[in-house]
Amino acid sequence: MSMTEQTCTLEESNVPPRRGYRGIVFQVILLMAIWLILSGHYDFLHIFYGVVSVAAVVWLNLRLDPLPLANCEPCGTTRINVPRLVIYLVWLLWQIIKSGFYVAYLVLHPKMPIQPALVRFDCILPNVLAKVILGNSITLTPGTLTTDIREDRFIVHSLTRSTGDDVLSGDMNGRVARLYTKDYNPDDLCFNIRRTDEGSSI
Amino acid sequence: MENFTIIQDIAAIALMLGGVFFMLVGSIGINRLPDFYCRAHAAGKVDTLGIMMFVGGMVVHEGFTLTSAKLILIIAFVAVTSPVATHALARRALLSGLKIWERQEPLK
Repeated sequence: MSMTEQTCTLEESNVPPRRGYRGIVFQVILLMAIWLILSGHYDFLHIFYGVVSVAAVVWLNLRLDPLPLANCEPCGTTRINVPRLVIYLVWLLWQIIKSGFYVAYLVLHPKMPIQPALVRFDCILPNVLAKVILGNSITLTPGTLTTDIREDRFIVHSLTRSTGDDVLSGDMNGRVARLYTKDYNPDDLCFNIRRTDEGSSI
Repeated sequence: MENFTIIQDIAAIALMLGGVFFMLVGSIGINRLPDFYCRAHAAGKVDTLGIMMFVGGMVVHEGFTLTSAKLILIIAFVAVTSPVATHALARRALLSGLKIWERQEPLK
């Protein structure tokens, strides 16, 4: 499959996204759970207040413009794969811990062996939400910080040479893409690479 | 039961000390690192881990209660909002044209 066929832009998604009952039910359960945890009173009156608040919030959310989850078939479905999401979250927690230790090591090292650079790459992901997940994940993983996302182009600040290599390996792009779709080629997910520590401008 | 309380206390103290350590390192990093972007690394990551470990220590200390559920919510919200805030700051800096600091002489 060539890149051009796979390109997924927002213009293609003029079909209004279907807003299933699944999402609303999920939202109600989540909001109600948060209400019950935060209130701590389980008598009729407090739970009634909770139900009213949840209904109001869900109503407001429905009135918001839905996220432009692009409805483009070549990139796979927009429905997230829940077991993979759980695995991904565990992996991400592990990355956060590693990241803290790594940056702490760099900061406390007497010579501070850092070699900052801006790294740019393009990444085609199934929808906008996947880009947000990837951007957040890059920020949370060791030594990298997402500075800009525009269309499919990511600009990342990396603290050392090796962390820049890690971002450009496309490993994380693959992990995010696998939340939505099965078929991908890691090389297709990370291309048009440029990096300032090799003399090119961003 | 006695032993369990001791283990719980040790785990809680270890996590809180770890959290304090990382928050301290985050502050040192903000002072030591050369430019804005590198400092954002220290503020956004090391501090996140520090807060998560500290609150995690409080969860262990608290045990299975409603309070610890609320504390776990705090951890989740910090984990979600901290990278977004760091990204927002770094993006503004990049768009307004702040140049990054680069090492002039190669690393040995």
